[in-house]
Amino acid sequence: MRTKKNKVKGRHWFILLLTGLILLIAMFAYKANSEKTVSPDNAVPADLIVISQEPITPIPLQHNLDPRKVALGKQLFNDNRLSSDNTIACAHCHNLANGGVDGLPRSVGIKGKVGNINSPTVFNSGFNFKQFWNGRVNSLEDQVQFPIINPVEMDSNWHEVIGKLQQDPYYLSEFATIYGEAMQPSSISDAIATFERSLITPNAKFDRYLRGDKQALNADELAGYKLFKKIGCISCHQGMNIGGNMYEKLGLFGDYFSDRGNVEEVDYGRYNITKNEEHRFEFRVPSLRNVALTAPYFHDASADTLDKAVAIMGKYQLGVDLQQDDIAKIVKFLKTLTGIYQADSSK
Amino acid sequence: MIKLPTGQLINKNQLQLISFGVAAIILIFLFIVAKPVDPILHNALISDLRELQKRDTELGEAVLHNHYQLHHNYDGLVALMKRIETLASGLSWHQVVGLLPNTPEVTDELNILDHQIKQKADALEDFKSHDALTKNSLLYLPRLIKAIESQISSEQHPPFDALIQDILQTTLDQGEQSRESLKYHIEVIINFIPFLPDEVKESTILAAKHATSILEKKHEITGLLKRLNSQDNTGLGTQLEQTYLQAYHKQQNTASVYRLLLLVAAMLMLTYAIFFYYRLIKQEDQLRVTATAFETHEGIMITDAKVNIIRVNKAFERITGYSAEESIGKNPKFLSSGKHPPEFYVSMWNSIKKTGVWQGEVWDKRKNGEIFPKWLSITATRDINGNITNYVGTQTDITDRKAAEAEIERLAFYDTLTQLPNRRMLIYQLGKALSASSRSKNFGSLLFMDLDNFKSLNDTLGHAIGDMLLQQVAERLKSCLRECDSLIRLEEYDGVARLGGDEFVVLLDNLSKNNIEAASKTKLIGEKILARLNQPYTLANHVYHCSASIGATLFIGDKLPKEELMKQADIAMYQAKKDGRNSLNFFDPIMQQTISNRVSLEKALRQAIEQSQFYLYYQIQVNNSHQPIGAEALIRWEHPQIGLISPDEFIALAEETGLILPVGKWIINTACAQLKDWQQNAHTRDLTLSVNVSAKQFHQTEFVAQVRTAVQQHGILPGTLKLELTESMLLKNIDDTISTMNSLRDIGIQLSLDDFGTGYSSLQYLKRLPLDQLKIDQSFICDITSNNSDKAIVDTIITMAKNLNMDTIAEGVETKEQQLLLFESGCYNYQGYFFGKPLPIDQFDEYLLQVSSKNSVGEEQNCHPSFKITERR
Repeated sequence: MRTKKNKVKGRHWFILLLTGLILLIAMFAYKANSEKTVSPDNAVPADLIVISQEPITPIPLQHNLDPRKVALGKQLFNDNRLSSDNTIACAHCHNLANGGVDGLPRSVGIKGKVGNINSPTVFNSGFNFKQFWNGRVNSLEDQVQFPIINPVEMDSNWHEVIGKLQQDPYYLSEFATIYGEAMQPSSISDAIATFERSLITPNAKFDRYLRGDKQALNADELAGYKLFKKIGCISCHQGMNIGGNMYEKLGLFGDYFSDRGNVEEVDYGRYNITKNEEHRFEFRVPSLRNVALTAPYFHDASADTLDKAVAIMGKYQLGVDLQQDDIAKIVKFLKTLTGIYQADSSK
Repeated sequence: MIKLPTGQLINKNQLQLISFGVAAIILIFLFIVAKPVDPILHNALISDLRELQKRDTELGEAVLHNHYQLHHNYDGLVALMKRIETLASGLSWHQVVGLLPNTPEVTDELNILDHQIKQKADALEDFKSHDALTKNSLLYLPRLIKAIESQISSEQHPPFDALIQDILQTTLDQGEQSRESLKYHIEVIINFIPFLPDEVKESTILAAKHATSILEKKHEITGLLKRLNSQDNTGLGTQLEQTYLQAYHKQQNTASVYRLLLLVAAMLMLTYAIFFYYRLIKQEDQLRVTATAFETHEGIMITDAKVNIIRVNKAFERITGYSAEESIGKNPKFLSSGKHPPEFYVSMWNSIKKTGVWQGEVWDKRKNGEIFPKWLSITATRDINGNITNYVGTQTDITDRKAAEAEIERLAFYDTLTQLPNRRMLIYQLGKALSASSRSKNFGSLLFMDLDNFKSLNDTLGHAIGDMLLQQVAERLKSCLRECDSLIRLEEYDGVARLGGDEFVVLLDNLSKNNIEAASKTKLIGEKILARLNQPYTLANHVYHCSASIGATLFIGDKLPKEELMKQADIAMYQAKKDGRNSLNFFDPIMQQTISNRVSLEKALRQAIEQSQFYLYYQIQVNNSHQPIGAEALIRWEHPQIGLISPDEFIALAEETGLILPVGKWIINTACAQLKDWQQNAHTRDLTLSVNVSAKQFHQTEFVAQVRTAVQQHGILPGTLKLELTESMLLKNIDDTISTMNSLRDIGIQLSLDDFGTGYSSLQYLKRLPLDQLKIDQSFICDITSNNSDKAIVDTIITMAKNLNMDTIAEGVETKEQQLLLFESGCYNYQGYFFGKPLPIDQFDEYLLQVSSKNSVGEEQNCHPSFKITERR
């Protein structure tokens, strides 16, 4: 009796197993097919065009970035180990206490090597449409690697940097926690860039004015703004970042570079990237936010004061010979563009 | 059934299994192939493409807005462009995941798209630059002109108005005319410059520069606007979308077709599965029936091809006492009882192997040791290739059946009331007895017995009492017969039966080769029975006396049919009843008479012993000189009424009844006495006296003692006593015989072998017998003179006896010639009528006296072989 039951059971088990196997295969086939639902993150921004009456818009009061990434990026931003001799960090040229710049005409890298161009500010750099004076990089993330590999800046490479950073348990655990994988150039860049994006300086006097506080600007500053618009500075220095969203040739009315002399390759600007003659001497229009803090001015640091900078701009860009009191008013206005960096402005 | 190339056969079930597997593979394949385009991915791509187009359009609009001062900064343009670039770069991913066909055409289109976007980006940058510039110039120029004009008189004014107008015109329309006009007017103004005062020269140059800038940039902007607004329908990604949609629809159609195939295949399989299920149900039913059949009353045992039990049912467990666990795995021989020889099993298996089946009765042993009969039926089952796979054994415990059969037989053959065999059984037994009788040539007898006055008992005391009587009668008959076992050897067929009513039958078989003897035995038993039945019966509270009438008939062989015999016995019984009941009557009146006579004779014989009616007669034994050497003592019976009765008539009866013992003893004693008497006289002192000894006597345990006593008591010379023994009596138990003979010789008496040559003894043991004398039987002597064979035999006997140190004496010598011949042959002792016949002692003594006196006178007569013939008496 028993043996017969066992035989029957055995048959049952076999059929069940077979069915299960078939189902499993089918499920795998289906799953394999539908696994490719993960598409690149093409989240659609809600509204790309914001109609506004003012050419300049205030920067947001807070960023909504991942605080962990920001903290990690901050560590990396200040980490000397990104340079080959462990002397230079990002903060070296982009000193947060100094308006995000080093205040030098040209930045100095490791071993006192002098660069070829003035460092732009890191503050609000996230709002620039491209990075570097010649706009060769589309994003902050893409920018991170260049100082690292630049022989006159950090003179290092990813391999070296990662090698050093991996010795640090802090980085090991943070990267593991945040990115779920070992340190990679992409994740290091992402962290640093995230930190950089967090470096916004809201609540400049002008921003408050734009937000509705009509008392934020005094008469001179307001007059300066009106002049700024009337003369035409606003045509290029517009948008949320008061610039940083277009290219323009330096020397529209008058040959700036001939007048200045000592033309170098770096002066060719965008031409170095596109090799388009049209683009020679074109540079990314810099942002005027915190301009009061970022002397010397222009890519070649040819103006060491705002007054001088304004005069040069007027002459070569607008073809306008500005009077001193006009310049003064404009400078007053420009000083209202200095915002406040709050270290922990992520809410 | 399908035959594989390898030669194996696949049956239907295996085929089905294989086809199921194939069908499953087909279905899975169809399912994989029929996958439609993932709707999520499809939607993602379509939405990306649509958004691309939308953003492209928005970009164009925004550019226009910017140009026409509806937007005041370029952030929007930047954002749009970034979005477009992101979307475009994401499209190649769709190709990677297979949504966009991975064809060169598509790759080309993607490349074209990238190129288009790059161009748009460049155009946008140019636009922004030019737009900003133009706006500034447009803003500044009027102010500048105003400043210039304020510094100089109106006559010196360059034609700025026309310039302004042209500029305004160009803003309104994009026509070539207005531009040309502007160009012209700029030239005019430039030509004006040398003629202007110095303070305004710079400004005017500047103004001309602005105007030129406006002119140039305006034109470029127009072109840029065109490029940034796709007027024709070649918006970004439209071609790609079309290509994709084509491929998409094709894939969807293919998928639909395969899905349809899948549906069809699934439907077919479902249909088949339904059939299969239906068949499964049927098989389950069959299985259920089989399972039920398996648990029948009969024990079923299934073994594998090696005859190891693989399955048993409950009935098997019940019948054998062994549980399934104990039985499975074993060879059924653990059940065997040992009653069957190995050949039985060998032939069983041979039959199975040959024909595939066997059935028969087998005796097995249960677990508790009980041996029981069963009807076993074995069948061999084979697979499709014809090989035996299993043996199925069905067994039924036939203990009950056999018991029932026995019971039936018992009922059929035995009387319920008395437990005696009934008529049917009797007839059967009778038949067997007759057959046995014809083989053994022995007489048997059939006794019909009827209770006297039974009917009246039934009438008066009732049937219950009558039954009781019958039962007691039966018991008495049975016990009586058992007691007769010493008398006659009860054979298998002997026994009592109840015919019916108050009729009983006794069957006696193997009584004797002699009919008289058989009849006398029958008579004996019959008398016993009658005596027993005569004793009182206690029936309930009654004491009853009953007698029976018995009719007997003898049978030998089966010539006479049973019915005839029974009729004879019946008739004899009625005769017995007629003769006064309570008696036994033989059917054959002659037999009856004979038996009666026998009975009387026996009586007389007893009397004769008591009343000493016996006498010894003596026949002379002489040597070749005619001198008496001894005599043979022969018994005679003198009955007061009948007279002299010769031994022929009563010795046999005496031996049968055992009366020969006292007779024999008397003979020996008388012989010894006589010898004693002779040994008082000189002329008779050396005479020997030969006495016949019967077998019964000889084999008596006290025989030797008897003889010794007789010899000693009478104080005779033992050597004068000669005992004559016959061959036949010596045949039995040769060792005992020899020892007895030795014992007798130890006493000193002589032993003679009587009637030598007539028995069946072998010469082998003749040599072992301690004999002194050989008596040549008279049948050889009778024709010795005429028959050469007889003579040869006699010669041989004489020679042999001589060589064995034995004496010879010839019996029945009747003529001189016979004596002469014997003498020549070497036999010197004779007995017979020629020398004298048996005489009573007084006559014999007288004769001896005569002979002795003659002898003493005629010495020389001894030398001559001529004899005087004495008178024959």
